[in-house]
Amino acid sequence: MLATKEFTDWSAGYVLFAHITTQVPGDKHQDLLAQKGGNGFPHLVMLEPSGMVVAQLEGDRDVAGFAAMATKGQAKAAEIKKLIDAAAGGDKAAQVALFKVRLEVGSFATVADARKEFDALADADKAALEQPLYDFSVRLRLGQLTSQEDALAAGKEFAEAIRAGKSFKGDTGTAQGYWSLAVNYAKSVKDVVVAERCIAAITELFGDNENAQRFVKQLTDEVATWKAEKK
Amino acid sequence: MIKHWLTGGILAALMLGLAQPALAQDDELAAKKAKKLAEPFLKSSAWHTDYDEALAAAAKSGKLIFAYFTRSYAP
Repeated sequence: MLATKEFTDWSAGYVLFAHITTQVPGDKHQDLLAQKGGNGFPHLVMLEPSGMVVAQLEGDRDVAGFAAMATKGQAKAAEIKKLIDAAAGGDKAAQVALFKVRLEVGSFATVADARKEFDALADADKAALEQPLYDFSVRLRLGQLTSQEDALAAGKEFAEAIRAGKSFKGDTGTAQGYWSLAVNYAKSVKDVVVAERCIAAITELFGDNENAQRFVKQLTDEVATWKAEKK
Repeated sequence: MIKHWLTGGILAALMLGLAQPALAQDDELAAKKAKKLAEPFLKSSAWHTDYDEALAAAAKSGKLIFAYFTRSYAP
């Protein structure tokens, strides 16, 4: 599709950028896919000129699908531009809203970069942004997994947050990965508390789905076994 | 709301997705990168493959960026 005349003609109104993850030592921006919310290939998004993601491909991988994505992207880019201008003019509410948008659209390369700006905010503003900051950290963590061992480590991090009463509250695609890795860790150490919280969350998010129902049933039975072992 | 749950759980899909090919030597990775850069689609339109250059072009033109993420180190 990308080598067709149809695509070439349609794409004249856009800047075309192909990012190739090469794993060649020294190549720049090797984490860019994760930064922009992707966790698999191919990944197609529209970016506004400062690099924020303004739309993802939801339809078919053809010109019609690309055009629909671009239309959504134009609208989102216009909203972001208004926020940027208002924030630059000193509008505090716009500055906070823009920070939240930037967390959602891959504007920060690392959690440390985001936290640096977060720490400079007023305490009253921080309270409303803790959850978006956590959700951003989860998306980035999932997008940067390097091995099965790393996945288990991520699951442990998620489980610790879940034990502390915090959890991912963003898109359901990321939620699937989040709760799955937390379950994987909980199973590895037979953590009843975390497993039961995962069961509740998966039921709430995906309870209509038959596969999820089977998964939950199986996990519930396993947890019952762990409890019996502890008696 | 997305209601689907992958067969066997997304856990299985994540684990399979993390199954890495055997560690490739740097020269093999560089050769794969060169092969990817030679693909026809990159010649049929005016693609940037440098992120910073793409951002500069977008800032200059005011156009949105159509970003396509792919890889060369594995199929």
